[in-house]
Amino acid sequence: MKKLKYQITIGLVCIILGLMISLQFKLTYSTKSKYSYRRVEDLISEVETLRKQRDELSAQVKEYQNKVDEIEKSVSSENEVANQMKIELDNLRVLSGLTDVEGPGITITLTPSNEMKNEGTTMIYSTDIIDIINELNAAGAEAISINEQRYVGRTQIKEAGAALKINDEKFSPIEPVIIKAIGDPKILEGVFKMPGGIKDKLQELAGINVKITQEQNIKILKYNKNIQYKFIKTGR
Amino acid sequence: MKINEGKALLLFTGILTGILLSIFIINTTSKPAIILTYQQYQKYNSEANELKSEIKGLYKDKNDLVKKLSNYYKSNQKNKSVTDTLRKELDEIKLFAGKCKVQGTGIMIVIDDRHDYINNEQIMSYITHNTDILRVVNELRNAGAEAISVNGKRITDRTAITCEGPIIMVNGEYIVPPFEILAIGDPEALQYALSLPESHISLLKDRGLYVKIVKKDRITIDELSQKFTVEYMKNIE
Repeated sequence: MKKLKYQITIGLVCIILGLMISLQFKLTYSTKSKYSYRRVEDLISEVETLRKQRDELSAQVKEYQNKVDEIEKSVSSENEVANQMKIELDNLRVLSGLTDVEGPGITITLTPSNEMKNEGTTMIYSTDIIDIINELNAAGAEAISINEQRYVGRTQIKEAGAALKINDEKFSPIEPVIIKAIGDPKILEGVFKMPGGIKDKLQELAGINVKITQEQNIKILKYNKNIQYKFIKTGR
Repeated sequence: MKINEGKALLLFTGILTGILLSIFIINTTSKPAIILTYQQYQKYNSEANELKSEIKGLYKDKNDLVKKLSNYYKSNQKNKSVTDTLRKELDEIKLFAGKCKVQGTGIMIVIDDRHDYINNEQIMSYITHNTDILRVVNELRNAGAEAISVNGKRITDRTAITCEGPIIMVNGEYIVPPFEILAIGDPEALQYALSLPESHISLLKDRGLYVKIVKKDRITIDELSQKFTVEYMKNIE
């Protein structure tokens, strides 16, 4: 009798053990199906790390900038030529896209359709973006960025293989593209209201959803690439 | 002895079960999964993109400033060193902003409307439109052109090439055909880009427009004549 009791107990324990081990295996191997959760968590933690990194860097830059400004100011306060140059330099920097700027304006979100409706999947072409920029400039936009890439005099917008390349950064042409512009929000939005204009063309012919919102204050980042010239010789 | 063996086995399995049970509990009660809507996901994605871009700019700033600062500290004559640096920077930025006359190798393109039209139905394709100029300018820039002008009007980041009825406007000034586009850059690369069958120049040729491309050793492009103002944007300190 005693032996039987023992055997039953051990048998029961073994069954539970086996169940647990199999469950454990199932859990560890099923992480692949949780991929999307992982990505979301990674994305959030990535954003947090990036924020921290940005704050640290901008503090350092500010410190260096203050030191440089101090020296330059001490010189330009005595030297009128240097003073004039510094003023012109600062103005041109803002004008040509080498500083972060903010102001009223609009945000344009281009969303290609991913549904298999009539035309199937649609994508955004470089010429669509160029046409929009031209309209924005005609409406007096003072600063423009496409997916945070500042539009400057030498910005290249082109197709590179399957990607959309802006300022040498690659973007997917089937993902939404965000264009920001600073200027008079009413006028900037107004140029896209023309019937048969670019907005209609994109929505009806190209199957791209165009959303335009007026903004009280938007931030546009500066051009962050090195500027090099190989063929120009300045003639003065 | 026999009973002891059995007890030992039971004890052993008991401990094992305990350990496994606790691991099991720890594993299953993981952090609650964060579920984002598609909009939120997009928002995070674009924020990450923005931050990356900003950080790149900050690194560049930092390097530039460190270099500048060490130059200032090294020099004996601070006054001269600062004035020279400012002058050099001003020259560079004027070049970037299109505020100075430039020279270099490049190409010249002449485009003119087609005048031997037969019927009025196709007339629109015989005319050079503002979008044609815009496409060609963009192709030149994508091929690495460092400075571009259309009929003497310098192309910058704020240039709009618009259709004003029978006339084309660049930088707020009217231009009329024939259109002469000048570009400084690698003449071979520029010509190659324009000669591709999918280039806009090829399309213009197919439409029967007059197109001439000439490689040049020396091209002079005037500075931007129009003054662009800043009314809405503020510099972020």
